[in-house]
Amino acid sequence: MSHQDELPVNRAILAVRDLEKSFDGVCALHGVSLELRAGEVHAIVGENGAGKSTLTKIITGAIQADAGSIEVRGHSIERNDPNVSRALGIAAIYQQPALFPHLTVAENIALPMEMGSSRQTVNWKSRNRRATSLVESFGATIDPRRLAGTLSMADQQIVEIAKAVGADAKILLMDEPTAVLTEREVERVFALIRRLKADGTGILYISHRLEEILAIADRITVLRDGHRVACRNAAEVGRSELIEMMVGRSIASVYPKRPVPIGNVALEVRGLSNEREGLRDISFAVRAGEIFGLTGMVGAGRTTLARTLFGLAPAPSDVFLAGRPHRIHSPADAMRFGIGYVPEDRRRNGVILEMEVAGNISLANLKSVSRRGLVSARSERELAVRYVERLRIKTPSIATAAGKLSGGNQQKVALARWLATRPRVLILDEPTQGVDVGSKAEIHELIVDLAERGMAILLISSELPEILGMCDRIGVFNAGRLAGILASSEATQPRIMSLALGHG
Amino acid sequence: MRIFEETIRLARTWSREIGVAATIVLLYAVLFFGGRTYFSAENFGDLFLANLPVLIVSLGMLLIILTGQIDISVGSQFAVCSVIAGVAAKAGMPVALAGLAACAAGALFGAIGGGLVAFLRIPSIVVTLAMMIALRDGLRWSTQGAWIENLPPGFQWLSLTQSRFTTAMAVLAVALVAATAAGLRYLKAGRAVLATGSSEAAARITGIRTDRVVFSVFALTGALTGLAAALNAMRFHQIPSNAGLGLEMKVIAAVVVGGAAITGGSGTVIGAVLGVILLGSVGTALTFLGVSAYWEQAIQGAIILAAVAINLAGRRRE
Repeated sequence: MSHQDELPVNRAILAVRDLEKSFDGVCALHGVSLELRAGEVHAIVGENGAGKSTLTKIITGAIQADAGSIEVRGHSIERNDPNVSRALGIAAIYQQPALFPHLTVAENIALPMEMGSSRQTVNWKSRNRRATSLVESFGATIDPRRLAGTLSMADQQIVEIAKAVGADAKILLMDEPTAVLTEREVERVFALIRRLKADGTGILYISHRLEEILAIADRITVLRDGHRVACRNAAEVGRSELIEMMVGRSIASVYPKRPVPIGNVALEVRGLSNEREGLRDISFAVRAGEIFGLTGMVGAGRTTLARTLFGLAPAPSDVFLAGRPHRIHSPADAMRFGIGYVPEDRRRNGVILEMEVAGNISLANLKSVSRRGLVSARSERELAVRYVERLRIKTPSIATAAGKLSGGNQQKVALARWLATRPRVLILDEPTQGVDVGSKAEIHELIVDLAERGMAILLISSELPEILGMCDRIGVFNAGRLAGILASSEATQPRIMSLALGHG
Repeated sequence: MRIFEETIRLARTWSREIGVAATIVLLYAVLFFGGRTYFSAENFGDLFLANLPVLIVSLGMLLIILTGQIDISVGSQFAVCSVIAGVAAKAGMPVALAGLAACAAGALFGAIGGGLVAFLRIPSIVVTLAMMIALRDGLRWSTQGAWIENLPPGFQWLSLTQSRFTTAMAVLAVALVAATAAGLRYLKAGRAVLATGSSEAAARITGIRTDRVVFSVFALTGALTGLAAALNAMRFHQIPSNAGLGLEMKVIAAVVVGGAAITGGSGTVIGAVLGVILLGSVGTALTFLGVSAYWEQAIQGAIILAAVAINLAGRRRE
């Protein structure tokens, strides 16, 4: 009777069996099997390095498995490559939309369809028509003549999905598709995923955000160290159980927050405005030892506040540090006054990927490792070794390029750089974004540890469980204003959401 | 109302080209009131022929810049191809065949450079810098600096009268411009060029062989450079062995002034043509306005800076 019953839901449209893959003798996948049914969202979870990306690359044909088989709709694929997989209706959607920013929406959707045909010319009218009808069938309105680069991230992701559907993809691989979206945008993409499900598309969904996975997935496959540890119905597993399966050990409490003695006010702002950046009338105070959470939609002002406090977007207002007014004009000012800032998007703003770990750590502390204006290699090395040990950064050596480390360890390098400046106030912007579960727990532990030593911490995060689990108080942004400040005892996800959406 | 919105949309899409066109109109308005002698058929004919090589090569350079690459060896290619055309003609080849030889030589140079860039992934600025020096000095060594003289009759002006030749070249130029514009817009290969420059990773995922695209635009530009060299040689009765000095800069400047993004993916044929017209008109305009010709390069530089600044400002707003 329901729409679902008409579909062959139990037939696997994609089946991989006993996949094996090694890189230079290191085993990345060990006998992994997985089935994707029509109309199913099948999530793959695992820590970084568990084999998720190797698995998806084998399915899209970017790399070849050493052993094992891939079947699409019952037909075994002899030799997979990107063209073969595309022809079989497999499409991949990545974290960052891989669109042509300078080309129109219509062209972005049309190009993959046209690549297969032998026609050498393009018909703009039919391109625009097809793009419009596809996008409209998703319930979205996007002008097909707009340049893709001018769309919002969510619209770009929707165009990305339209592109795949237009090219007749029946098997969609989504790798962290919501990583750059706000919560409201995520809902739009989820609505689209549900629609695709109803049409019988099978979706392999990879994400670090377990809440999302539990909300959208039908089944969940857990990978660990290249092995499949479990395949479960999403309705039958909980968050903590998933984490345990992923890390292979039980994490006693997911958030290690401990009560610590709260000291004097370390940082206070009164009626801070930054008109040019859309920040209005912000007042709050953070005390030593306190973790103050800042949340709200992306673009609501959280990062702008951080940039204002750190002098990257200076505002004509005073900031009170330990009770004394200061005007912060530049990052150099902020650092002099004892403020440290670990920005979001570590690959772009945080670590310098080509530079070695030691250089990255000493970068904000060159004065302290220099003698008579010359950097002392020995002090630099000592500083790096000290922080690599203290933060348990997993790196072959302090001379390794930071770009070679895993995401979690890169984040720790960025943290180490700012810890070494011994700030009294530390601003952390999305410190655990795109970091695997194990490193995430370690970073949380470290934050708590810093608070315990009397640092005042501003923690910016979009992840509500993290905000709720880590912070003493929570400031919620809405449209450039601080819509409310909640004590952790009175904060709940619904209350934060309603404040963030302006219903507070 | 709809027509109004549509006009605004078009104006926005073509804002860069409209800006360059407006500057050209302004320049010619000043010339019109400053000295009427500028507006003679003869003067325009000379101006056109002098800038024809820049126009032809800029069509190829636009394609290269659209893919996100650059070729600074076109000036040296131009010199070698000029000499090849002359030597071939002197060796008794029919003029058409001599021209074809120059095209083929250019295509070969382009293919070598393009191959190194596309398949060995050497940065194009390095590859074409090496080509630029090697071709220029190789030519100097092999000709010992001597010019090609005593060209066979029928080589100069293609045995046409000068005005007939000019007309023929105008027809050719229009055809080349139209073909490039149409090819970029309506051919799958043309779309592949834009896609490659806009996002190489996305292009590869889409199934576009980006290495072949890059290789092809370099080879095509080489062929166009050969053609430009042969046609340019036909204007004189001797061929210098140092032709095309600084041609690469003129060509790149024209494409950039025309609104193409130096990072690839964005730019139009109309823009490049307007860029050639603007930069090509400045020099003689100064002479006619009685300003020292020494100012030409400085003013061209200022135009390039202004164009890039305006483009950047426009892109930031987006």
